[in-house]
Amino acid sequence: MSVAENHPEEYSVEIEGLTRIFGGTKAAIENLSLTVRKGEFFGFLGPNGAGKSTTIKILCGLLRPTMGRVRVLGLDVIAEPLLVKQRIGLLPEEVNTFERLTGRELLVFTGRMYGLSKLEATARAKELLEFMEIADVDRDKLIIDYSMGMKKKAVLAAALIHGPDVLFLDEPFNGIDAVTGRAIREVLGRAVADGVTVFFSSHVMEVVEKLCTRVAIIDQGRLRAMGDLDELRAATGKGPEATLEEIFVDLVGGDSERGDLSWIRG
Amino acid sequence: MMRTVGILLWLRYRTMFRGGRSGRQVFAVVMGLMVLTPLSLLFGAFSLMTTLHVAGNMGSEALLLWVRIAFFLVFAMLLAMPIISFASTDFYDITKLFHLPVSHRPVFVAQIIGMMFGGTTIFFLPAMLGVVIGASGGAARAVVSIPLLLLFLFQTVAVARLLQLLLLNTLRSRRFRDLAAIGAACLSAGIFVLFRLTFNSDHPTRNIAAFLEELLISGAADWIGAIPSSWIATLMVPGAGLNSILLVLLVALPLTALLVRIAAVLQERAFHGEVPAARPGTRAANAANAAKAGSGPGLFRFLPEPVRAIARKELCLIRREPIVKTMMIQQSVFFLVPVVVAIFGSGVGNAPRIEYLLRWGVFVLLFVESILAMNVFGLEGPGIVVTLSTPTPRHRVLLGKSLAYFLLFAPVNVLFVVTAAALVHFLTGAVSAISVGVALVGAVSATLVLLGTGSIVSVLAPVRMASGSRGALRQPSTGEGCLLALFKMFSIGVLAVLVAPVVLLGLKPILSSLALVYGAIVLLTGTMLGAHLLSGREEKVMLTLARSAD
Repeated sequence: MSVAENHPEEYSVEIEGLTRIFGGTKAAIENLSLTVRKGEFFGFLGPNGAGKSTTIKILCGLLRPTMGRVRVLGLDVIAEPLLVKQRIGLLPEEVNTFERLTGRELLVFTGRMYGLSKLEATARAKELLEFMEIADVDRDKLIIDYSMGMKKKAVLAAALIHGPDVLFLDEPFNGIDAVTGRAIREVLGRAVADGVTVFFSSHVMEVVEKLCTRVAIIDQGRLRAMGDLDELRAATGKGPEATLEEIFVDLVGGDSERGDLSWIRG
Repeated sequence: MMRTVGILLWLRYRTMFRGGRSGRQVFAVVMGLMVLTPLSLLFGAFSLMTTLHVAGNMGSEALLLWVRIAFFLVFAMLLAMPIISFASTDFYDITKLFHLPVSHRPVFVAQIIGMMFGGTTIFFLPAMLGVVIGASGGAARAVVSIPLLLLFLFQTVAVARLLQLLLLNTLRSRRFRDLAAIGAACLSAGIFVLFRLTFNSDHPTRNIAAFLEELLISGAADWIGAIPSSWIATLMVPGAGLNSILLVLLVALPLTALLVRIAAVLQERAFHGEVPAARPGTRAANAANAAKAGSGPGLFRFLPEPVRAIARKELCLIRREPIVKTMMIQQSVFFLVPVVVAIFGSGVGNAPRIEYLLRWGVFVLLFVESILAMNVFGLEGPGIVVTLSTPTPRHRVLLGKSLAYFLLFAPVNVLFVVTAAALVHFLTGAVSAISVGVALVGAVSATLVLLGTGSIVSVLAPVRMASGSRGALRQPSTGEGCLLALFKMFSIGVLAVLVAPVVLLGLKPILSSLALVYGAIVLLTGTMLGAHLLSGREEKVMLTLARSAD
């Protein structure tokens, strides 16, 4: 019996023995087990192709696992995907949304799909757009014409409009400028302060180090380490000054030998 | 469930006129109301008149054929449009709803209703009603025919939805978006040709009647009857009795139910995450593509490496840019249709049609090739900065680009000449091998002249070529764009003057080889002059092309 099963009310996310195989042979995730406590800001790290996005998709009910058990807020994601989706918000890595709506229309539409009344959805949309600083954008401007940062902010606002209990963010800082990044950090900080659990994958180690209370590092679909920064340092035998980046590189083998490119010097 | 269906239908109609970008919705609505609505009603009136004419003057066999053709055209359009417009219609892509707490059932219902009462159906409804009412021969049968028409539309929409779901991952890929642009180009060119063939005289109804007679003679009517869309169409004409209606319904209703069920199951599977979202190409596929991209114009090994490298890169851009494919395929319709008319038509009687299409073909060919050749930097976009930051002499850059476009145009032009010669020979028997040879030399020479002229115009008036939302060419729409258009028109005039010697030399077969020499001289002169001009205008060219397409 796992720890999570003893105290299910403590955990927002419980993954046990998760495996996802693509094309019959390639395991994107292999026997992954981890838990995330309620209200935690959880960092999910790994190199490209490690299985981060696949894990997040499974947690959000967008992909079926090949094996293993996945629970979000105590609900089985495979058995009750709609109940899970009702209580979570997702910012996917690739923005895949209704680009021919305006930002305001997208938020109102999304809110109504979550069961909010039109009036309530409109009021929340206005507030969120102002908080994200995209309320001043031309009212008729379609999302297709937004910059990458604005698109991310609009989709994050859509993920928040129904007041989710858990927020899944897949590489939220990819392709955005410092100002937008700061706005997103502020929103996330506010959400965590209000008791929302944030499950967050990123390549930006400084951000993860600064924001996350606990971190899991995966590589080739397998969990390499999990814990807060001190626990990770201890697990890798690093000193108290070691940064998350150093720990990460140590765990996923980023210092392997490369060619010396001596021809560059002519 | 009905609340969710309602919200989804709101989404469908909210985004219906938003195929383009911001600020163009009003234009799209005005276009819809001012152009498409009258056109749709015009089609309705025309189809009613034609059906009445066929019913009154040509007998039941021709009427049945006409109704079947009309139903087949609508069937084909209703199947093609959801596929072609997938990328520009948010509503069709159900993966955008996967993260929301909504089950597959209301989404499926909304999709079917949204497609059933979508733009394509509404546009063709007057034409369908015209055919059905015209063919019914009485009010009583018309009353029976309307529900049958609705059943036909529902069945077609179910097939279209099924196709969309089967192809979901393909439709979402970038490669398909390119293909869709090409499909749209083929469709629009096909419709244009059909339109011109039907309405290019004072009596379009008679053209249709003559076309039906040809089909009846050639026996093509038999296989048209076997197409699924013809089953219900058969019930629309007076000859169909109650028994045949019941018989067809006995097949059509369960078949429709089965199609809907299969589509629903596919949608359910997609919602449960059993159909993974489109994944980027594998490393092996990327490597294969890279290797393919590396292959180049091997016949031209005598040219310096930078020229060949530029040509190789340009050919990659040409191969991957949907605009070029779209333009080249649009023009190919003007070769293919005359061939089809010649093969399936009744022979010499089609000569005026074929001649008419070939004349259009020459015009479209010249138009498309001049657009591309007079803007050889257009496909580069911001990449021009990389090209012009290399120490490659500028005449080599231009020569490399000319080589790429020569490799693109020459086979097309040769194919056109051979096709035209074969058609004219087929119809008149008056084409000799020598005249074909002279025409081929002339086509190659004219291509060289075009590329030489294009090198200069490209430097003086570069325009970034970028796909619009439906694969259309996006050009500047400002006052600068107006001046540019005038300059390009002037350039085409100059080109016509420069091509004239090729035509004159071609009149005497013995002098035709001189046309090649003349073409080569124009190409080299244009390249050197273009390179000289480019050295003083590099900044302007880079600024124009690197500017954001938005």
